[in-house]
Amino acid sequence: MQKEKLIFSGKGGDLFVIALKNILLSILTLGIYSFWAKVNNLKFFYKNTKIYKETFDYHGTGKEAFIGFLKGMLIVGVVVILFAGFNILLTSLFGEIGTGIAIVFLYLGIIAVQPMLILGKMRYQYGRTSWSNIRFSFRADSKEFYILFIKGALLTIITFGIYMPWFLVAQERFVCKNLKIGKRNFKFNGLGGEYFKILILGYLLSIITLGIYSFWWRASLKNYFWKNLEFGSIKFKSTLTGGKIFVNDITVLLMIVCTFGIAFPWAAIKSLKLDLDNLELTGDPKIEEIIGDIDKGASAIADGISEAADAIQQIGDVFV
Amino acid sequence: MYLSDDENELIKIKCRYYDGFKPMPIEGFLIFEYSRVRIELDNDYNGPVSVPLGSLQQFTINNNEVTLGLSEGKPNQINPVFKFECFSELEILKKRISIHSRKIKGQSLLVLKPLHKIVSLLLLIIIFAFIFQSSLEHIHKIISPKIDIKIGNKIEKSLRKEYKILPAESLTMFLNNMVNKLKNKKLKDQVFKVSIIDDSGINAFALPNGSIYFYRGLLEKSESPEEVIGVLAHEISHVENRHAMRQLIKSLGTMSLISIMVGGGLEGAEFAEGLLEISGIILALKYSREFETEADKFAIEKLKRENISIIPFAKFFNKLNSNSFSGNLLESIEWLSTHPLNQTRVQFIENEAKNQIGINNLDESVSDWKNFLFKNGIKTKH
Repeated sequence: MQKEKLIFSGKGGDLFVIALKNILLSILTLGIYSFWAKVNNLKFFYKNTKIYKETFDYHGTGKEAFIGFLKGMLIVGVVVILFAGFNILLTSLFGEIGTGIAIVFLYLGIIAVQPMLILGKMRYQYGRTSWSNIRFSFRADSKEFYILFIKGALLTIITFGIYMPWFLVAQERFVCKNLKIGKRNFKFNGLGGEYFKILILGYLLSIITLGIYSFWWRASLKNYFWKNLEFGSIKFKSTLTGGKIFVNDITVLLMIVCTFGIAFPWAAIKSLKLDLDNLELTGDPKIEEIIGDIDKGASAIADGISEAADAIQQIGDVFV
Repeated sequence: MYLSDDENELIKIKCRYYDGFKPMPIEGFLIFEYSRVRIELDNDYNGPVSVPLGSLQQFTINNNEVTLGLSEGKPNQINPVFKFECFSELEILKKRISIHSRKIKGQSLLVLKPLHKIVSLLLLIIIFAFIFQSSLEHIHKIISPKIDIKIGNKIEKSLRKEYKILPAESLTMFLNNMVNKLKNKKLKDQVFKVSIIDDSGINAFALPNGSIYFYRGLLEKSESPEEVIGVLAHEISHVENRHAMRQLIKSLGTMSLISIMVGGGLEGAEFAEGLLEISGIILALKYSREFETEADKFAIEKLKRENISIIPFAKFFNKLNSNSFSGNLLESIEWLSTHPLNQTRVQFIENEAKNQIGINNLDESVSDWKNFLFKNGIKTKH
């Protein structure tokens, strides 16, 4: 059986130069450059990762992310002004109860748009990613996601959280089903019951071992994900162990602390390599059967709205 | 960097062509002439066969692998690219392309070795961070002092709800009179008001609107009026030099600088973010120490001008520092957290005290300080 590994060939020194450039230009532009900085980082990681002899790439630009942010700022700004007016109106009519009602409406509104934003962000990020210049895409039916979301959230509340693993697995199935490279999609075969066992076991053992088991818990969660992922006839297998994660985390922590953060790029690469080195792909990839496709509708707007909402929240935090 | 380039030399490089629809690249050759590139691919290729270098839209290098794009490369379009490994010819290629393509010029002209890049970028970051920080020192000059007063009034409003104020009429009057002597007469709009909080803590503070508060505890521990006047002069200096506003600007500025830096290069790394935040807090503490030293300096000038003895002020500081006067560690810590002391500060005040000549006696009414405080409802504890 054909076996394949993901190979990362990026050097810490190159990432260090990128980080320095990002920091410098972000300071000079009072943070505006951070949209370009993010793209620089993503490009570095994608361009240096190879599988089946070909590399990944990221095609988003800082310019479109920044424009998306400006549009998002406008939308969030209008919503904030409308909410303020609504709040004043209700408060003048019903006093403090009115304020309460306005806030309840605000939270309901935020919850209602959340799934749309999540889908929009994923559509944008995946739509700008490629392997061998074949684009990924994520075009999901938002109605289906809303039903999944509402059903999952309600059942999780009713069952005091017991339904959570089934909810998470359903989300993963939904994401993988809609995630494609060219026209070929991924598939996730995980089961809520199995996931429940891993979560419960990990939770209990982490408490008993005062948190030490959490490394092994993380390993089993990652391994479970890969074990159940499929791409055509390709299957994945992750051989991570808690011990490997533990050793890696300690090393990375020491690297960062001892160098006052300068070794950060090398540490980030080391952590990424741990995951990749332990991941194996088997099966006939039938690469020649993949057909390229492009999602022209993927836009930076949902990403921009989230960024804008974060920015406004941060500004709010300073004054509260 | 100067490179000799024989204009007639053809550079033939093995390449792969990725059209964005088929995952297996088409193999072939790119032949670089001085101002054009010829494309020779095996089969299935239906793009242009010769392109002027000036029309190239993308030229990126990663680990000696060059990616070349012919189309403009909008992010939501499929953009076919050529890829090739390039070693010895890379510099000449870069030169030819940068001469002909205006678009690519900027990105490939800066040919620096990685180490040089690191050093120059680091230097630039340090310089700009330094300029940014030092410009924070001056921002308060363009902010109206009225805003200081507004902020102070707001804090005072909530403060008055929480604390009980002692009437202590003659004491408050005495301190307010001293304020009039000590204050900078050039600042005509600056109003001061001294009040005494009924609390056993050993502390005193000034709000940016000019309200100065003494804790009862501080007065109880004082042995002479000069000690209290020294503290008063120190608090007046905080107000006159707008330390509250300056501290606010500096803290906010430092915080946003750090968040810009973290947002720019290290996102997703919570650990690094945590480290940077801690360093921000340490920086903020350093500022307040800087302002304390400045307030000491101005306080001493005021005391000297009015011929009031500095020695008791120095002694008072020393007592606080050595924690000998009460034996109560907690009480001293409270003062230290807001008025960080160190040996240099104490030393500075002591030196100034030694150099002082001629001392003016204060008003008769406070000559028996213990009794004066007692009449105002404050029992001294020494």
